[in-house]
Amino acid sequence: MSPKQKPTGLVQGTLDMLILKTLALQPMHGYGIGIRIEQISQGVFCVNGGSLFPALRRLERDGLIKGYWEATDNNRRAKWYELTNQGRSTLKRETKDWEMQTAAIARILQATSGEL
Amino acid sequence: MMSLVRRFVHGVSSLIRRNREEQELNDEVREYLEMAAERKMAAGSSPEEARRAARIELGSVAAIKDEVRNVGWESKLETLAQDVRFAVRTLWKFPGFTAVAVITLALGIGSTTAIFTVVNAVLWTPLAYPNAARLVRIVENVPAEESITGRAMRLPSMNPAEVTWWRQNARSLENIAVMMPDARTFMTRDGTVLLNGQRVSAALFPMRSVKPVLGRGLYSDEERPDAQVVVLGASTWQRYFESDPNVVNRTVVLDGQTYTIVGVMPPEFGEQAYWLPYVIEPPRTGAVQLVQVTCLLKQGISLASASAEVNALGRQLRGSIDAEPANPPRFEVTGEQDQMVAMVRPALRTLVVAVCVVLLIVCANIANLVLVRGAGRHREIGIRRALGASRGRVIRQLLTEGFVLSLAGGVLGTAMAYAGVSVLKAISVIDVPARYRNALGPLGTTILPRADEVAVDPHALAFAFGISVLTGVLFGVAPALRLSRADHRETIAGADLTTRTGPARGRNHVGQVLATAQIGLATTLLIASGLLLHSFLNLSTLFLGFDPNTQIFQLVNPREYSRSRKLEIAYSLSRQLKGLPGVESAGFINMPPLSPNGIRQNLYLPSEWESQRETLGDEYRASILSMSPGYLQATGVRLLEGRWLDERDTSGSARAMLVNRAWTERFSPQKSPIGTTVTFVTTGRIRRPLAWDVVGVVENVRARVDGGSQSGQTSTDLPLLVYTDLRQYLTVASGDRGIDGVGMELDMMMGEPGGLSFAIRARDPLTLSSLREVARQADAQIAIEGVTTMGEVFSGLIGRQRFYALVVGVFAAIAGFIASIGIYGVLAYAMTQRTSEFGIRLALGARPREVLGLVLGQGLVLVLCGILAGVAGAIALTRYLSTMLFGLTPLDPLTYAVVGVLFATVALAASYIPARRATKVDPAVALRSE
Repeated sequence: MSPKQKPTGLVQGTLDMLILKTLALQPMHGYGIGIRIEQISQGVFCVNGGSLFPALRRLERDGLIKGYWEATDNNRRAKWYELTNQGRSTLKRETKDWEMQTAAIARILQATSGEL
Repeated sequence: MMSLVRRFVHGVSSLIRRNREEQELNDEVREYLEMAAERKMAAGSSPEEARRAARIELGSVAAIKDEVRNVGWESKLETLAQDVRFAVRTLWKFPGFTAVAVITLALGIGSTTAIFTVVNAVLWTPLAYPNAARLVRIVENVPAEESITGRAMRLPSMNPAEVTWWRQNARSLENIAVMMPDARTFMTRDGTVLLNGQRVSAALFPMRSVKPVLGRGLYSDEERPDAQVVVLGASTWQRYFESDPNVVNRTVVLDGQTYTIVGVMPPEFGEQAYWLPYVIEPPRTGAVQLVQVTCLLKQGISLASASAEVNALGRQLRGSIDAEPANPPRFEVTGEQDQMVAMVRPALRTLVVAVCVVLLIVCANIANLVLVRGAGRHREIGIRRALGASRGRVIRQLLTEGFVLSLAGGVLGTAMAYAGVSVLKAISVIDVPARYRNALGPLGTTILPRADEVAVDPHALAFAFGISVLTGVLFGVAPALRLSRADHRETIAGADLTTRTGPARGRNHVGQVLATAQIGLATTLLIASGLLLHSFLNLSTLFLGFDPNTQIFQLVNPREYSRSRKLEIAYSLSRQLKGLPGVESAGFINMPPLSPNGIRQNLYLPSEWESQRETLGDEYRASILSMSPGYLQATGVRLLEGRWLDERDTSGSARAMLVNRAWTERFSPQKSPIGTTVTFVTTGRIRRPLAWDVVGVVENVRARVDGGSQSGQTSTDLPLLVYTDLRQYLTVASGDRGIDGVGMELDMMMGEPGGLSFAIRARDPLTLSSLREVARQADAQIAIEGVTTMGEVFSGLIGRQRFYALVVGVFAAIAGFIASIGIYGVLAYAMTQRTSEFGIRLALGARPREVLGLVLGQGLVLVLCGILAGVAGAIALTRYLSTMLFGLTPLDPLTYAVVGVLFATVALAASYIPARRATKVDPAVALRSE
């Protein structure tokens, strides 16, 4: 088995959060989620199907998102995902946690020798 | 919690909707690819290029789907099911390997489980009484110089007179209870039977705290001679009282006396037929009685402090014991269970060690076999890894295969253990009539104490399962690690590891050493079992002197009958037996063959030897036996010369005597002793110089079966015997006083306490009911006991030797079989590694026979090294067996030679299979595979 395909430079566990955030803006199908993350991150994060599908499955299993089949813009049937209430609250909590952590990390990284 | 439930529900539902989910996933991935391709086309690629690029970007679809499937817990279950299915399919494809592996495993797991079951029940399970942990015994360690046998003894019994002393003084013990075997006649509708019960202290009932089926136990104020009360065992109650719920307060007649039934106890209390109160009586002169004592450790008192107190008290009691602290202490308190199993503990420990070694060998062997087969699987595994299976995944698959094997082995092994345990139980109790039990030594009829409690129970099943899993891990891990390491690029390219000679060849040193060690261990075990088997053969083909088909029984009289009445009954019974159709001869004797105890040995000398009596040693002593006319004929003892004793030889006529061959060889080797006058003397003084005329000489008969002696033909085994007519002897012995007077000697000549022993020779064996019928006609109150044949008795007496020969033999056979598999495994592995070498040899003109010799030679070296090591081990270890051997020494050359040659043949046959395969290598194929 080839090594696990991870989004470039993506901190482990953050992919779920990014997916939730993307879906919080609007329901989306799998491919669209990948493209949207790539667009918003301005190409920094490139999400491959190899990690996207397991992540979607995991979120769906945990009841954070819900999948349904519907036609796309160009008249294909695709599986769309939307956020559940639980997913919404999870996203809110994780966003808060994330902000706290990044702020803390940033402070540490910017610390001068005087502060230490 | 919620999410756990949700996950569970999801898991179950996705297991059920597996197909639909699979379909959805397919659709989703396809759509994804389409969208990606469309986007690339929009960016200007051609449709083909776009699709291809999208695919490459996505990577292996199969791997993604696998990853998605792995998200839920249910996927693990599914993988397992898949692996198991795959493992079963793979194993099914190699039925030879699978059968050998499963059988080997079953033998290992089965024997381990069987021994665990026994050890668990005998040593580890507490006794089935609520106070089991506090149940103790007082034992006395008698030093060698005071012991009647000349060896140090550990006596778990005491003199009844001492019980009161312990009761009054021991503060760390309570409920001191006495138990004593007791047997009484009981009249049933089908005739009189002898019931085996116990006389016990009332304290036994609260001590064991077992709830009565009916009524109550005995009370302590009933420990007096006039309290005619009895507690029945449940089996007696069911059999003779049809489980009558109103049996309490009814009466029962035992030995002619009436007792009131006060209760019925279940089998958990004891297996005895009844319990009577034990009454401490003043000791009778000449009768040494020892009673079993069991008591309860007081709450909170340790075994050690109780022992200390008991030792101090015991010294006071004995008075004369020196003040020196003895080691071991003279008196000790020991756990009831310890006391019960102490004799077999070392034997069981040895078995545990042996069985663990067997199991380890099994694991090593299967590992080797798996490796042998794995050599051919490198390519398969390489391909699987190239297709994206992770190493962990491959290891899991290989381990699953191991578990499937070991569980199959476990199931078969448990069945074997079940069968083994029932065989073990069946042969672990010696079934001989009470009369012959004296010959059995300190353990009596028990080969394995608590054998009735041994059963394949949930513990044993759990153990078997656990041991199977453990075995699976033990033999599965090494091959799994080795195989999964295979570099798939190399394997697929064809540079198979196994075809590289040189370094690969030296690789299985461990396997070779292991195989040699196995053969060594198996050889040692096989020699031990060969010795035991040889010894058992010696025993079972012993010269007996009597016809094993002789039907025998004991005549038991109610205890209050007078001697003359007993005599009258015996003679009338004998007459009636002779009158039955088909009966050729019948009679009775006071001491039958094979019942050594109680035989009095004295000097019965030809009159002319009388002057030498002072100088004659024990080997000149003879035993006197008394019988009725017809007894010896019924037993099948041959008359060598002269005549039998018959109806002529009664109280009034001249004193006539038969002597046996041993007596004749001792006193009259040159000329016939017929007509010689024999005088009875004791060394020192002539007590009763009575002359007897020798009228006939009969063949020797075996008096005892003694597994301990190495010669097998000592004087006590084929003793000097003289036979007299019972009536004639009693007249002589009692003189004018009449035979109903006091006299231990007379009792002994009447066969008491066991009763007279009858023998019958008939065309067809008499049935028990016809015997009972005859007995009832002679006297309604007598009982017929121990109806069997002399052959059965003999077979029972050598039961202990049979047990050991069988158990050790089975283990040795298992070890031998497994070791043969081991040598096969090692050689077959070497074979697979050297396939191309053999191919080259054959291509260069080596003849098949030479290649065969090459492999066989390698096997021969292993086998010979192993057997030599095993023989050395046997020489070192089998001396511990010497006490169990009969008629041979632990270094019996014949046994060593036979075992060595037989096992070498088997082991070489095992190495022949891979050797033969080596000659079948097709050079073209072997070389092309390079």
